Order: sequence, then structure tokens, then C-alpha cells
Amino acid sequence: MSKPSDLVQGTLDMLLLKILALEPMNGFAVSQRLKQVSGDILQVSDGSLYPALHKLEQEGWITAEWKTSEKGRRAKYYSLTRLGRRHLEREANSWGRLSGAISRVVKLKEA
Amino acid sequence: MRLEHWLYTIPLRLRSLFRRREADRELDEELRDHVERKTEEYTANGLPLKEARRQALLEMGGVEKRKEECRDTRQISWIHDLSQDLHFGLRMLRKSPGFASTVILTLGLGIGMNSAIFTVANGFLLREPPIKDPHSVVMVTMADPSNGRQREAATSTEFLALQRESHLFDETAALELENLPLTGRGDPENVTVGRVTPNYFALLGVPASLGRTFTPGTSQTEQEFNAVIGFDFWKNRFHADPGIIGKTLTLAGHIYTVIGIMPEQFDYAFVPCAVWIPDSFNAQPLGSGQGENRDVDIFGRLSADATLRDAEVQTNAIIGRLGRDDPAEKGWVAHVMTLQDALVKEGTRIEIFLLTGVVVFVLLIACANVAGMFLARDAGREMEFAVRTALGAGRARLTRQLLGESLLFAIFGGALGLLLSFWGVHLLRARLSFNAETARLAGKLEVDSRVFVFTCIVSVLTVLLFGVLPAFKSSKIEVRSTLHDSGGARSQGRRASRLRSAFVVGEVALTVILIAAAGICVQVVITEIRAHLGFDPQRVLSVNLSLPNSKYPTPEAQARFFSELLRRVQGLPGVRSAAVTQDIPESFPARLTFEPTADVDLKPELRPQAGGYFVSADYFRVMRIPLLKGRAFSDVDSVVSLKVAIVNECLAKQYFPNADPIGRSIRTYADPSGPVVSRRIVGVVGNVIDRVGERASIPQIYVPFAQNPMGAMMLVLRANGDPTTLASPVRASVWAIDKDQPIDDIQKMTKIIGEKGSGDRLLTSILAILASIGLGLATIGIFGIVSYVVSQRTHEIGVRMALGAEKRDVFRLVLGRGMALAATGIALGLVGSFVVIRILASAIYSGSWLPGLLILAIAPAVVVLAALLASYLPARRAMKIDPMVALRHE
Repeated sequence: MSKPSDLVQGTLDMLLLKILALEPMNGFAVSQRLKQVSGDILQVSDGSLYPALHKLEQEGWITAEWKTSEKGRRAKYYSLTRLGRRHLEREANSWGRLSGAISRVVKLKEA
Repeated sequence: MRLEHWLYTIPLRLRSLFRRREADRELDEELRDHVERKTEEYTANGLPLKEARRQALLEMGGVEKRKEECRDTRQISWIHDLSQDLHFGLRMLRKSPGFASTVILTLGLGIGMNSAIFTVANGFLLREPPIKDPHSVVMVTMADPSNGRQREAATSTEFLALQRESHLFDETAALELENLPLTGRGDPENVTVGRVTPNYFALLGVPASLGRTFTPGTSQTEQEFNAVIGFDFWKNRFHADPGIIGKTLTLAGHIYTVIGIMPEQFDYAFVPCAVWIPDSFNAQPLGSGQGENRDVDIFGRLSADATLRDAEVQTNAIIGRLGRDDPAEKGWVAHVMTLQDALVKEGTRIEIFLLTGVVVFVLLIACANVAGMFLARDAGREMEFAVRTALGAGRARLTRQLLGESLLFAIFGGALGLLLSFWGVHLLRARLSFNAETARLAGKLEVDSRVFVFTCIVSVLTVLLFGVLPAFKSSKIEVRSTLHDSGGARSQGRRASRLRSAFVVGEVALTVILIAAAGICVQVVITEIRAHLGFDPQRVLSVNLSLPNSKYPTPEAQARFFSELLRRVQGLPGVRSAAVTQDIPESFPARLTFEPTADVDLKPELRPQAGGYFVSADYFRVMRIPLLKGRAFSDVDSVVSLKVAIVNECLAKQYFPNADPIGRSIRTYADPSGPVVSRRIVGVVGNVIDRVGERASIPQIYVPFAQNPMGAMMLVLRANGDPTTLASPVRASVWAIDKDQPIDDIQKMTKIIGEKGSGDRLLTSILAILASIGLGLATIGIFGIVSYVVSQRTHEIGVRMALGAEKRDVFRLVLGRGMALAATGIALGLVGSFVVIRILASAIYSGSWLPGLLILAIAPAVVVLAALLASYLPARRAMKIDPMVALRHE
């Protein structure tokens, strides 16, 4: 597997929130989905995943529920809260501005 | 938005706090579930099960660590950690009970005893008057700085002006004391009567305990002949009979009806009056150009927003206006001070300052003790901390744990301190109730919260500081070296050891200084002041007699009475000598203005003043005041013979430095504008103390009673044995001459002098107690350190013994260590004591500090003894060490 790029913590939070905005899922599924939609470029290590998720839960942006899945397995499902949705919007906006600015600078024509 | 945030998070936090185990279980399940799914994925991709599992676990990292990280995101983890630390701390305490109990005991003593003693001393020295709202009650005193007169009473005119014109006082009242004969009920007696304005009791806010007091505002005539009596008088004279209310008393021929009785506490803190009667203080008609008498005490209650300063300024303005119209008023300045301040002795501030200093010292010693013990213990735990750091504990975590442990000490120590302070105050309260006044003051004693809080804070800070010190010492390099050393205990840093020793040395030094300072003060109080009374109060009886003017209108009649009395009393068996005098030393005698005739005609304001004593011939013999030159008074000196005087040494030295004062004349003025009498000096006597605690001598002049008789005199006699046995014969002698003559106050001179010194005695005992506590603490400190050193060096001692050292040598080794520490401390302490003694000498007594050198010898001796004792037990323990056991000891 290719080495995952380092992700800044705040950006990681934003990504996790976005994934959960699509639909509620458990931690394992979140990391799989992220890998999938980013084409294997963005991978979050298992060690960072759960502390990050728990922190998001403590901040009140996601909430958790224990559900028994189809196979009879119990898992903790996270979902986005209204608070989280608003936070996500804000973060996405500022990320857009930041990345746009970086792209503009990088694309400057050299003399 | 914030609110929503809290709504989500609070239930979570609460859950983490209270359903911890459940939350942890879920966490565990969640992580394991993830690993399971990962494993499934890998097996699905073709890896064998074991390999898949291993890979999944690897990617998770340490499960425990992840769990810890997740737990850390819970923002309440600090609470949990703290409680864990406290539990751990408790276990540590139980493991080393000796250390724990010593620290807690030291803290408790330091905090508790100090608070208790300071509370008591403060309460006694700063006596709060037993009135309502004492902070807004003030007294107005007058001073004439140009004539050197301070703290004088006021005149009626001044009072009335103040009453009329001042609006910064809600109320003003006045008190004037008089001695009047009480007749008609039992033995005639002269009693102290207070003439007061009708609002006096209302202003002070003290109601009668039985009956009522005067009604303020009621016109003078309606209650002109009512009287209120004092508790002691009521108890002694009327046997506490409540039926006295409504009955009458005859004072100086006038009949008064008793309307009320004052409560017990009211007798004290003021001059104890037997009776109070109302007076309007209308200005007396000016008599023979002498100006009004200054004998009115003015009390006031400040209005809510008036300050002392404002009141003083306004009062002075009023007095100034008076001065414009009346030349006798000029030059007088008013001082307004709270009643409490007015009642407090001069020199009390010094006492309190001293006490505070001593308390601080003891506290320092206690803290040094605690710090030293912690340092000693921490050195032994270096291994423990090294291991923990290696396992990954951050500095913050270690600090937190140590903080928890120290907090426990602080809590227990503080609790013990609180207990001790209450118990101490309770104990002292009981012991100090030796008369009604002290009982009242003692009853009001509550633990002074300020002192308690202060000592608590200091002690707690010390504990916390030294408790967490080891966390800061651990760095990577030290960790490695510590772990590598097999004998962890032996590898104590040199620096730590020196620090510990430094603490003990410091403690010992402080103790030496403390003992020296306390010793000096005790000595000052006992010897300097007592022994330099200038006279010997032992075996002297004193009897107050006031001859009523009505019966003895002329000086000749008064002289006749007293000479007859003297004749009779001198004839009584058991009486060695007897005399009469107007004042005794230590009682603020009348000031006599004088001038040595050499300086002709000084201006009145420049004439010096001396203490004036009007005495009969044998006075010096009774009081054992040494006669230094010339002769004492005798029968030769009578009304018709040459007017003579005897001066004291101080006056002789000051005004006749090179000549013999005998034969010279001085002029005395009974009052500044009065008639002048020229007297020849016939003798010089030793100085006597003029007032309590006075340091320098002042000039004193003795005038023979025969040449200046008065109506109110004190009979003093020296007995062969116990003077109180002569009380009845003396009374009989008085009544043999005049059966209606009231006799006041028969007392032993030692009691009179003693009462004046009760505050000093208290201070002395307190200083002694505190010094002992300090010494005790230092001893504990030395004991702790030396014991600890022994336990640390057990291995070394084992080696020495194995190599042939005798038990004796070991004993001497340990003892020597303890004594070496003590010796250094004593040396430092001596230097410090020297400095402190010099400071004290200038502040407290102006005598030489030579007696201090004696203390400097005693203090170290005491400390050496203590150090010996402290080192002895550990040394004995060292002696008993079995080498085989010691060698195996790590």
C-alpha cells in the first residue's frame, strides 16, 4: 500500500465529519470509506482514528449509538449532529478558501 | 450555540465520570471489534488467520495505549486521575507511618499552636471593650505639646462645646470621676463615683443587667438623684441582693435612689466605678483664676460615615474657637482615638510585634522540618521515579501524583492544626480566667481566622513545594544512571544530601535565635522591670484613706489625723515601719513643676517637671528606697520649720552635675500658675520607677507630708511577716481615731504592683511556650534526619561492622553526624542571635545588652542537649544493626 500522506489533525476531523455526513457508520467503515473515496490517497491509521472519533464525540459534533448489525454483531455507530453539521460547513468553507489560495499561488507563471 | 454544545456534552461527561467501567468496556469492545473486522478483511484477501491478526494488531498499535488516548480525550480525566493519585498517596502514607505522622504532627503543631497562642495573646493585649459596636466609639483626649502634656482629660467647657457644635458624632457623653464617702449602709467607705451625662450608658450600648440606666434626654432635675451601681460593688457591699433596686444610698450627704445594676464585664476595661450618677456638666464658675479642672473624659460615637481623622479635625476646630476667647484654652490640641486604642497600654504594640515575630519563627522552624523530611524521603525515591519515567510517565503526570500525595499531608496536617488550635484556645481560656476581667476576655476568645489561614497557607505551600520537587529533578540522564546503579539508595545525589543538611542546620540556627530572643524578653520583663522598681514591694501593706473635707477642712486637721494614725500603727506588733504617702511608684504620680534656683526665673513653659511624692518621715524605710546622701525627713521638718525636699539621683545628676545638691534650694510650683515654694534639698535617694515599663528614670522630688498635708493619703507599712494579718489591727486603729472614717482598698503592695504587670507575665509565659515548641520541633527535625541517615547508611554500617568496627564506633559515628549538624546550626544561630539581640535591645529596653550575652551561652547549651537527645536514639539503633542483615540490605 502507498504511504498515506500526513494529515493535519483539524483536517482529519473535517474529513471524518464529512464521511459521517454521508451516512452513519462505525469506525471501521469510516476508515474504509475514506480510503475508497479518496482513491487510496487519504488513509487514516487505526491508531489515530479512534482517539479522533472520541474527541469529535466529546466536542458534541458526532453522537454514537450501539447497534446490532445484520450479522448479529454489536458495533458503535457514529452519526453527525446538527452542531457537527454546522461545524463541518464552516470548516469546509475555510478549507476551500485555503486550498484555493494555495492553488493560485502554486499556479503562478514563472518568469 | 454554546448551550447546544453543553447539552450534548454534559451527559457524556457525567457518564464518563460515573459510569466509568461501562464506558471503558464499550471502548474496549469498540477497539476489538475494529481489529476483528480488519482481520476479516485480511483473511478475505488471502492472508492466513494468524498473520492477518498480527497485521491488524500492528496497525492498531498498542491497544492499551489507544484506550488511554481515547480516555484522555474525555475531558474529565483529570478528576479521575486526581482521585487515583489520592488513593495512591493514602497507600504510601500507610506504608511509612513514622514519616507520615511526624510530618502531620509538625504541621499540626506549627499551625495549631501558633494560631491558638496568637489568638490568646492578641485577645488579651488588644482588649476589646465590652460595649456595643466598639469600633465606632471613640475617646477624645487633650494634649498640650508645648508643655509636654499628653493624654490629658478635657474640661467641662470643652465637652459642652463639642456636644453643641459637633455633627460628626451621633452622640457625645462625658465621665468625671470623684471619690465620695458612702454612709448609712454598714461601714462608711469612700467609693469611686462616676458623674456621667445621662446618655453615657446609651452611647456605650450597655444595658443594665438588673433594673435600668439613666434615660438620655430626660431633663436633669427629674433624674438628678438616681444612681446606677456596679457589679463588684453590688456583690461585695450588698451581697448581690436584687432588692437594692429602689433603695437609697447616701453619697457625700445627698440621697440617691438605686435604679439599676451594671453587668459584671462593665466594671473592667474602665476605671471600676462603684456608682454612677447623672450630671449636666454645666461649666463651673471659674474660681480663683486657676482655670477649670481637667478631669472630664469625653466619649463619642462616630456617625456612620465619619472617619477618625475628620472627627479629630473638626474637634480641633471647635477647641480652636474656644481658645480664641479663653487664653487658658490656648495651646490645647485634641486627639480622637478609638476607645480600644485609648485603653491599650503603650508598649503593647511592641509586645504584639514581638509575638508576631516569634510566631513566624516557630512557623519557619516547622516548615524547615517538613521540607527537610520531604527532601530526605524524596532522595530515597529516586529509583521509583526513574522507573516510572522509563515506562513513559510524563513530568506532568509525575508532578500530579506527587501533588496528590502532598495534598494529603496538607489536608491531614491542616485538620490536625485546626483541632489543636481549638483545643489550645480552650485550654488557655480555662487557665487564663483568673479574675473577672480576664475571664470575660478569655470567654470571647475565638480562634483568630486570619492567623490560622496564614499559617495554613504557609505550611501547605511548603508541603506542596517540597513534595513535588523530585518530579523536577528527574531528567533523562539521571534516569539512566539511576537505573543502572544497583544500590538505588546509595546513589543519592551529593546535592540532595547537602540540601537536607542545610535544612537541619537552618532549623537549628532558627531555634537558637528563637530561644535567645525569647530568653532576652523574658529576662527583660522579669529582671529589668521588676528588679529596677527601685523599691521593695514585698511585705508591704497599703491602705487608702480619704479624709472627707467636711470633717477635716484644714491641713492641720488632716496632719493631726495622720500623725495620730502613724503613731498608733507604728505601735502595732508586727509592724516594722509605717508611713503615709500620696502616691506610690508606678502610679503616675502628680507632676511637680520645679526649677533649681541656679537658673533664675525660667519662663513657666520651660520649667521642668518631676514626679512629686508627698511622704512622711519613714517612707523610705518602708519602701526600702536607698538613701544615697544627706538625710531622710524627720520630726524636725514640720509646718513651721524650713521647707525642705529630697530629690532622687536622676534629678541630682541632671541638674546638679558637678555640685553637691545638699544645701541647695529648688523652687516647686504646685501648679504652673500657683504659688512658689522654695525648698532646701536635704537628701538624695535612689530612683524609683515612675510608670510601668518605663525605661529611663525621671527626676523625682519628695516633700515632707508634714509641710504639705493632704486629705487623701495612702498608709504604707512594712510588716515582719505576712502583711495581710495586719489589715484588721490597722482598721481598728483608724476607727479608734474616727469611727466613721471610710477605709478603702487594703492591699498588699505586691498585688498592686503585680496587677499592673499581669500583661507582662502573660507575655512571658507565652514566649516561653512558643520557644519550647520551637525547640521541640527542631528536636524532631534533627531526630528525623539522623534516623533517616542511619537507615540509608545501613548497608555502609554493615560493611564497617563486618570490617571490624565496634558497636561503639558506629554509635559515635552516628552521634557525631547529628552533633556536627547541630554544631554548624548553633554557630550560625549564635551569629543570628547576636544581631537579633542588638535589634531587640534598641527596640525594647534601653539597658545594656550585656545580660544578653548570658542568654547567648544558655541558648546553644539547650540546643546541644536537644541535639544529643535527638541523635541518641538513632545512634542506638545503628549500634544494634546486625551486619549480616545490613550487608544484604539494598
